[in-house]
Amino acid sequence: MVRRLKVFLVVMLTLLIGLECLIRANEATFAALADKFLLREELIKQASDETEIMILGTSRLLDAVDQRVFAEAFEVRTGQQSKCFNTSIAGVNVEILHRFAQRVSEKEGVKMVLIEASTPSLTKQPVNLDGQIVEFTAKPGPNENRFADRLEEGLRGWIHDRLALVRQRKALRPKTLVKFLVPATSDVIDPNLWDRKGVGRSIALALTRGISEVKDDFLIPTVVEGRGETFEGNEESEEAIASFMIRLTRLLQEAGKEVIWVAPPVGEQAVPNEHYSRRIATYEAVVNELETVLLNYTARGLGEEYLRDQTHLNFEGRNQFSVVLARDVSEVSQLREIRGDKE
Amino acid sequence: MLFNSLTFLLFHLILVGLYWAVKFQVARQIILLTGSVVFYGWYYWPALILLGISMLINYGFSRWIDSAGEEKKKKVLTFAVVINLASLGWFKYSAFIGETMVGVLATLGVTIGSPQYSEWLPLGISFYTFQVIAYLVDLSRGKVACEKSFLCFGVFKCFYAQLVAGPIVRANELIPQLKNRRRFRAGDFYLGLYFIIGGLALKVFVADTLAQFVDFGFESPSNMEIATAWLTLYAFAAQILCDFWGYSTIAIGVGLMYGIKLPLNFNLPYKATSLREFWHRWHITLSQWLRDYLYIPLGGNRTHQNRNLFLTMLLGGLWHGASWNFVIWGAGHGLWLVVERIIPDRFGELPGIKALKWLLLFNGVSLLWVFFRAPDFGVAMEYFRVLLIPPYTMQDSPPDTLILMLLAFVGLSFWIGKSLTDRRFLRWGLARQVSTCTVLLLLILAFAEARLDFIYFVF
Repeated sequence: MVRRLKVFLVVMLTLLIGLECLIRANEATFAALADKFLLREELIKQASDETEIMILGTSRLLDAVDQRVFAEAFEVRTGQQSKCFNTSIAGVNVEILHRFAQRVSEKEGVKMVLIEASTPSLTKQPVNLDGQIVEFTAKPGPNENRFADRLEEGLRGWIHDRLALVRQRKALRPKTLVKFLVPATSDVIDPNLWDRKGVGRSIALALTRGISEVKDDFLIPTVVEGRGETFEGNEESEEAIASFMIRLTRLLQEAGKEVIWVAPPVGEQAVPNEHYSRRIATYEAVVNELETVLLNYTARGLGEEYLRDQTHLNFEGRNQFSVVLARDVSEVSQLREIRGDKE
Repeated sequence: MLFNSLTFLLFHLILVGLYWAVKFQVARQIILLTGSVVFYGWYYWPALILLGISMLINYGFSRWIDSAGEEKKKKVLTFAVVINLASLGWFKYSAFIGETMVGVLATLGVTIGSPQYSEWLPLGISFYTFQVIAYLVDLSRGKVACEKSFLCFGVFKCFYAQLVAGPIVRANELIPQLKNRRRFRAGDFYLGLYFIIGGLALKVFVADTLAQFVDFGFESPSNMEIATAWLTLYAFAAQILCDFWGYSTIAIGVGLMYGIKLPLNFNLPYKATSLREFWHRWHITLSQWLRDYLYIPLGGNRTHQNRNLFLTMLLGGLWHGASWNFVIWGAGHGLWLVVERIIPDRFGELPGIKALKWLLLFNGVSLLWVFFRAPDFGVAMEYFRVLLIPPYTMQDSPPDTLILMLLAFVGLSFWIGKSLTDRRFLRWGLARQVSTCTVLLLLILAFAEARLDFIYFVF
């Protein structure tokens, strides 16, 4: 049994060292797997050259637009095949959106970018865009400055600094490992479906459904087109949003992309929101200055049958809105002309 | 020191190395006692004072009982038990008793000020108090010889593997193993290593991951819909099992690495099809303690069996915590056991009946866990309302991770559950041993998000 124990320990050690080497050699990939923002950035980078339309936004636009339905409906309207990638992600803040926009601006195939005009958080969240930040969140003991706690933290820090296996341990979670499939299958399965509740049902529905008929009571947007008027800021927070919009739009316009801002639909209870109206007014003012377009779907609220909650659409709402958005974008977009110019 | 901390792993490895490096058993006892003192004081060193006093007093009692005549023995024993229970009562129950008294008197129109009580609950006091009471009772009954070496008695009283949350070990199980020179057995060491890995996986991967859903659910039950509420309840059933089973398994593993065998504390309790069987599989050492030192002295099966059963479980509930929720939980189990005893089982062998009984048992035990987990009676009632009373809402599906973790719990129980209750791991092929341990280690590593205390630390 002593020999068996020795063999066991040697084999275990060899396996763990092998795994450590594997992770060290691919640390960036493992880091991306464990961080939804990094994974999303990686997907933007890896998106095929055929992707002409990209969508940037928060969970609201993520829930509102099914990229496949949108692309199919857009094709029906324009007669030309377009591939779309909805890069929207829950919990995004302006820093991350800007980072995504930078990646999108580097994609030569992308012609048009739809950006969410709602309320991305302006607060500075700890962002893990460089892929190296993996923190131990140890629960503090009764006295955080005790020798015992300092020793434990010291040991953890020491191991964390030396072992990639520990640094990238979140990537070892089975659910995270499944994300190895996301980039590989992104052409067939909408990458957004993996993050949804009831992932199996979502994927099955997404793979089997077609474009739905738009119902008569669905929304018609308020379209604001830019006229080059200078925006005059009002409040500090609105100025921050305006400055973010201007920065983002210019970044993409300078890279030759057409930018359309979209304020996704809300429920009836969210429509009269004063804050919302002020924010929309800011968007309209900035769009005026930037000579771009804002499609505002918030003037009239949607019924409960289309909503997951007052600011997020459900499956039915998403299908309907994807078709509606494709219709409206095709009407205001210059994409056909852009393509025409190139041809 | 927590079992699920790096400090402990380092500490334990150093101590095991030292233990096997020395040849004399007395030196080994010194290592174990020193290690146990460091282990216990690491968390909160003033607790050592109480542990030291308890050790000295009980050593004195044991010698006194040993030297006393038959008549005097009983009196000394009664005195010793009262002193031990008074200490436990002061630290654990004084607030509960005081507040209950104030409440009762207030309803009678008598107003008194809030009485003094201890705001500090020494870690593991219920466990080491019960362990030493069992020793003193066994000593007075002549079932165990008096341990004259204070060193050996000290290790028995505070062996760090089981000091804080059991298993509750009998003197005749542990003391001979401490006294006789242990020979290094690779099999025990190997099995101990596996038990530590398996126990950590139960704690870190299952219990701590499910804890976040359970905490959220019990914080505000009315925010949940019926499906999520039931799944959260099952999550707690899994969490408390894996938390305590994990701790006990690590404890047994730690003991085995010293060549010391500690008793089994859990034997797949959710496989039971009757509550009686459940208590033969759940916290086995406490069940046996309650049987031998409470149920039988109350009269056992000889007289008033139903009353004895009910009272034992009621007090067992109170042992778990000083609140009415624990009293109700214990009473619930007591009543159920009484009903089970009264109603004869005539359908046991019919097809499908076993599955039905299992379903009833698991859901019944889970429902009683509501009292155990809810912070107060009001929250427990709120939880029951969501679980049982219409209208039932089903607009939102439960979180994927919750469902996956419950499936992981079931999978893990089937996969390694049995192997954590006996020595079958040693009979596995090398490939199976290595693959199992690698997967468990990776799960521990991947889910080692935060060091959460073990639930039974507060009992």
